[in-house]
Amino acid sequence: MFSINYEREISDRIRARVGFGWWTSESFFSDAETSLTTVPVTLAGLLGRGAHRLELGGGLTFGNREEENIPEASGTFLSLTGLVGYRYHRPGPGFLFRAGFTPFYGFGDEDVAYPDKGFFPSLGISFGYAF
Amino acid sequence: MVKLCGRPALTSVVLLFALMVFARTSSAQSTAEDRNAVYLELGGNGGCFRSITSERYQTG
Repeated sequence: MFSINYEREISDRIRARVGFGWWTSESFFSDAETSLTTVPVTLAGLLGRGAHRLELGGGLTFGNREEENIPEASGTFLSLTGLVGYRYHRPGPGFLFRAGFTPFYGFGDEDVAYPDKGFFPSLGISFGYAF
Repeated sequence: MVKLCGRPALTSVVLLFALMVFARTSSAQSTAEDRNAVYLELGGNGGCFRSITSERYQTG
């Protein structure tokens, strides 16, 4: 799943981020589609100096799941999400790379909770531009 | 099993490119540096890879 994200400096070591992600998948065995949209909102602290830094943070991921032909498995969800990762960015405008462990804790109905109800480990990588 | 749709990936790349063009234009007009960032994330806090292969989607 992909997300487009905007990040803003709150202080020298704190960054706020909001994103928008979406995905559609189709079953091999039927024409039923699953659509997911997500809105991650996180705060992260940066440790270290220079181009190579450690990023620690967390926040909330809001979203909506649409299961075609399965209305009971469709609806909105809310998950807690965390971040422990590596961040590469030379000071000043330029290329940004991030990679890390991004666990979730999904709340709500078991059929709708994202990624699943309860704790769920996950990984992520990011490419972008800082300015 | 699921069959993945490529359109969201292409749309993401196009949107990211547009954001980067906007970012470069904005930074050229600003004295502030390194205050903002835009990026495309695969998996991560915005989405999870396992969720699209989860057992809940493997029913026909």
